[in-house]
Amino acid sequence: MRFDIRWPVGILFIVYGTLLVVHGMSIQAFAYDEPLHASIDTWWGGVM
Amino acid sequence: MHIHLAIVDYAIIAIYFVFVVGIGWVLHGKMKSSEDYFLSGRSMPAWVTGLAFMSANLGALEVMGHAANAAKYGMFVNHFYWLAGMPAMCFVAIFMMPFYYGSKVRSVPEFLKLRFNEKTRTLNAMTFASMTLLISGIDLYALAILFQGLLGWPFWANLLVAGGVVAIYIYLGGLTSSIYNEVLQFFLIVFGFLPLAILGLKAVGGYAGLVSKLPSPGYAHTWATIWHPSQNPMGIDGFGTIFGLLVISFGYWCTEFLVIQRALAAKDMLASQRTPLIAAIPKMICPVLIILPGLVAIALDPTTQKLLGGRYDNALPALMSKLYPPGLMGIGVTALCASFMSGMAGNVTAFNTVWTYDIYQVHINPGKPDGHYMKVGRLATIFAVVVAGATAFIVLRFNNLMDYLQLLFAFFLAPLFATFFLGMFWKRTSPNAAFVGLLSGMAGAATHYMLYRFNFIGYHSEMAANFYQAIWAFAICFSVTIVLTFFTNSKPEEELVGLVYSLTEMPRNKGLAWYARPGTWALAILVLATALNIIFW
Repeated sequence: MRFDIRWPVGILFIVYGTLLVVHGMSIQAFAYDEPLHASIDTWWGGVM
Repeated sequence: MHIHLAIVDYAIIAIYFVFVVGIGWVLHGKMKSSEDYFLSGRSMPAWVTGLAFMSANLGALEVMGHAANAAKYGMFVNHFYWLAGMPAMCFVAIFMMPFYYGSKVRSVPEFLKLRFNEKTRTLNAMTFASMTLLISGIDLYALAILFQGLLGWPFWANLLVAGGVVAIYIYLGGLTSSIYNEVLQFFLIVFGFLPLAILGLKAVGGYAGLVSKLPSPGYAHTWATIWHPSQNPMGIDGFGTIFGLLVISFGYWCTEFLVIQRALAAKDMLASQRTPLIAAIPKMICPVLIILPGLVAIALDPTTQKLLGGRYDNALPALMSKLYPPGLMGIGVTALCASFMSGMAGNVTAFNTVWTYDIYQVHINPGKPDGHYMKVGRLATIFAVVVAGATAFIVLRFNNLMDYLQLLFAFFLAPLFATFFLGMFWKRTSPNAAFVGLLSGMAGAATHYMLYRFNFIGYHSEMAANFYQAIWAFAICFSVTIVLTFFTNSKPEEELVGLVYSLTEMPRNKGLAWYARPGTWALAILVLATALNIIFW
């Protein structure tokens, strides 16, 4: 039963992070702009 | 309560659903034997089983239930983690996994058969199967009301969809599918709820602002108000809190097959011992992700509590609705979905294993080929999901999920821990005494519940009643088992090797560096938990 879960989970979070970054930058760039001067979607997407 | 979702949120949720069913699909062809299906072929590394061990416990009851508890009872709820959870998880790792894993049992009831007798196993298997179905109902209920808020669908339609997805991925991939989804769930919960804690603290003006806005000073303390029921929001005294929680917690972490099953899937003894210890580390910081948002939810509106809409269980989704923008909302809602589905899947996999190995294979249809039992396990999966749908309607009667859950634990697990404790540490404990003791403990819990429900005894809160019910059930089972042991025949010592502490060589891990040994990890976890108790006294 060899199946390494790290790859699919890693890819899923890259997809989620990218979605958040793109959404944050395109839709609401000025929401929650403190203290990082970026929307929370953008910076949290970057973390993901 | 209605949560508004944007297209990006729906996309995030849809990707998650495709992903979990996809995992089941990929694993479908890898299920070659019943051990693959029910125990993941005992091949998992410790980090996977450790995260699964923790996440299997992070179902709706834990996530929404403890957030609700925090809104209802304040920081007192930290006791579930730092007073009760940490010692119990260290205890199961150091003292109990060597018996569970070393004896090669496939389930907790099977251990009872080896240590005591067939009827004790059957009693435990039947009660455990009932309990898992009731708890599965909690997760399904939570998922259904979440979907109701999101989509506006009727309650029964949500049950059908959510239950259907869980049934598909467990049917296909068995325990492995469940474990992998629990690993995913762990990361989703961290990424989905951590921003809620950060934004929540920002909304109330930091930690100092949070403390100042809580409804009463007792909300902001873990220990300071424990000594008198009138001083803490849970309305329970120190004795009831400490002993009640310890009994429930040790009962849960040491005997609940839902979590033990994850450790049994580990690849070797060391990995099985590390499983609860790895789980204990994120568990220790769970209050940041769960308790803190519950406190913020009540602090934002302590007087009218409009945010909660009359139900404490709304604390977490209501706060998300208030603080999350589109996008992050999708991650948060997906984390909730993952938590509910994994919680339910964990119970379903535990149920199908106990049903197949401990009831069907023993009492209904023994001696069949291995493939037959795997098919029975798959059918049991469908059955469990259908029954969970029915039990979800029971949960509607409670205004706090955790009250309901602790009631179940006090009834089923508190006496069972007494049976295990005596069985593992007192070699004289006799099989018949264990059986009657277990039965007496559950009867004692039922009697206590009736006395409380019909107002013959009173407590300040539901949770206080649950804690005392656990103490009552444990004490009765413990006492009856000890007394009856003196009048009944014990098993010969040669049959107890590997099952009782004094007759078993415990793993010493001599080849391991001191910092890699389970004992060192357990000590470090207890020191950290003690420090947290002092900091948030």
